[in-house]
Amino acid sequence: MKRHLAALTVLLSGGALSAAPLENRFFTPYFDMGVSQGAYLPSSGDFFSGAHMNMNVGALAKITDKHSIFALYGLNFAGQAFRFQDTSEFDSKDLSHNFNFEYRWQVLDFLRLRPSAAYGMNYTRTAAGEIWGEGLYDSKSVGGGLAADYTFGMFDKDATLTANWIYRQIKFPNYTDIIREFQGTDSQAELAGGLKDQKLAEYGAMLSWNRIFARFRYNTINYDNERVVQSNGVYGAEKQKDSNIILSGGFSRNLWIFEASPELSYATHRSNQNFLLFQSVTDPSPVFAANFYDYNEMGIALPFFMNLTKKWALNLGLDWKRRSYSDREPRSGTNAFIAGEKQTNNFVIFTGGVRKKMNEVASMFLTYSQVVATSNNKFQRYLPTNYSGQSILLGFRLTY
Amino acid sequence: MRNKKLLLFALAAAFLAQPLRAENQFQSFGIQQAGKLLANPPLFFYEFQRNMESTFPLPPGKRFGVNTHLLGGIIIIPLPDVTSVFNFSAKVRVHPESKLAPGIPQVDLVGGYWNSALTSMVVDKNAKTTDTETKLSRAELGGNYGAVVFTSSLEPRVRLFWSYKFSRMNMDIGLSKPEVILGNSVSAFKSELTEHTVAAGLEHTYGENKRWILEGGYGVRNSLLSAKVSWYRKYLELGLNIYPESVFIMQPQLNLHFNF
Repeated sequence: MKRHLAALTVLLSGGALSAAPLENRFFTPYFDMGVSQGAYLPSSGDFFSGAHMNMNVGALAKITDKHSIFALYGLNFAGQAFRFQDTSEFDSKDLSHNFNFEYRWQVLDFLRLRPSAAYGMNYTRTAAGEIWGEGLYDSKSVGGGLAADYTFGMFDKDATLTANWIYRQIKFPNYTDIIREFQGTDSQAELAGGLKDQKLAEYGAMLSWNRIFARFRYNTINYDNERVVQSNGVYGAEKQKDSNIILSGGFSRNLWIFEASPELSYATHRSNQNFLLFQSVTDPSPVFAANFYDYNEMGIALPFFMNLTKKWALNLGLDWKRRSYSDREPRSGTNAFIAGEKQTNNFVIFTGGVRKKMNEVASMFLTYSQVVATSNNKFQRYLPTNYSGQSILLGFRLTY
Repeated sequence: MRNKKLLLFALAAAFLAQPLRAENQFQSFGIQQAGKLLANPPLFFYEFQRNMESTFPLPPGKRFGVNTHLLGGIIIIPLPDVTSVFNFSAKVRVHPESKLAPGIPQVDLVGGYWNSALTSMVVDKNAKTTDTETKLSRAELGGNYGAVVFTSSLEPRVRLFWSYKFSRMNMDIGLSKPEVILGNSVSAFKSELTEHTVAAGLEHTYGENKRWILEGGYGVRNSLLSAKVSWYRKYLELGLNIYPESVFIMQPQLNLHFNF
């Protein structure tokens, strides 16, 4: 469930679009790139290495003072790493390509409209090690959007209020439900294809002022074919519908030699989908769990830098994510629901390291992290829910 | 300096302060990586070709350039690799930036070739299947590539470049008798690999004949990711190639070039 939400987050992240430099010339390139390589040592299991790479390359073509076009290509690779519980395996990998085209129209001095079109491909490799392009969760998305930027003065500083709407049609060509194929006849097995295909609509608003921001997002995901499983263990006529509300806010400040950019977020996820707990593929009486996927999630990020010289800085950081399921009961080590409890996951990362600015546009960093993941769900045959781990990450960052 | 050493020592100590299961961990990691190599040997050797390929633009004002990959490798210190003897690349500028019209980028064409002469030193042409030891009976490794590079100035000291590159590599390695490697009987590795790579990067000039370059690329045919960070001087280039999905992820490089 979370895998495709993570993919959607990539598709939906419009931040880079508004980050392109605006200068008084016809053609302005945009470039942003980060590469990192880490070694990971979990509390149980083998150590592993993983790399991350993201690159955004774009160009702003200024046709007239009021009309411009922005094109952006984004490549994102997320390799092996420690994961938040209930999302994916340490060994899973994601590779995405996203193309965005945005027309920018300065309607009035204080109002700008930005209609856009987007196309994206997301490739995944689970721990099973599929070949790129044959991943179970591979997806392709196509869609468009409209954003409006309203600029106004507030306490002697400019503020911008952005409202946006986006729509995406997302196909998962390789996805299927193995249990349904196993249990069904050949003809029914074909019906398991396209189960994850979905349509997404999102409405959002963001206020930014004096390096402070507050953001609201609301989206709905309507599945084309997936139906809701009922308490009798049969899929009914009702189709799956999910929704998310995400509130976030933060600021960035420099004070003397210190830099800080704390962020807070709160999200709710709701789905009409239920869950059947099978003890085995041939389990004749699976346990029904209603509203299994609903949760509320809180996040805190506290990155902190201390500039020792113009080039060198020490960094410390704390990230904490807490997910509380509304109805889901945690499971025991033998995969049985524990009645009377609700599942809660905590994921905390402590980081410390050094950053060196190599020049005006680039920096490199060496970061040590300690991860502590705890949950009252003790069933972790497929995904670890209670673990700790350490990692060392070496990377480069470049932004123009 | 002392504080930095202490910090690095503390980080290393903290990371290694784990139960003594390192031997099994490294063995497991080694088997995983060996499996990657055996799963697709041409991809493993193609990384060496990627190391000798150069899609950096010619410096401003230069019309022609030649370069060769001297040292590369899989450990911290660059050493000669399979492409070191012999490889050669050439670049020619077909359009200086903004000559035809303001804003039109600099266009360079690049081509290169390599054929490993080192392999003949390890081949035993008289090897027989009855020999006690397994020997290399033949080893042919080589390849070529061509590329076009577009470069635009963002400001006087910063340039953005894009490139498209076509690469082809051939390998033909024969063993005197089959060997069982990780449960597979292997007697030869023979294959050709082609790749189309799209790349983009940023060049930052921070002094006379001193450049710092970061490039990221994606091979469309084989889903190959790559990144490269280089310190590019008048004649020498010290680089670090990063292949996120490779057997050897970080590979240092030393290259020699002459630009006219």
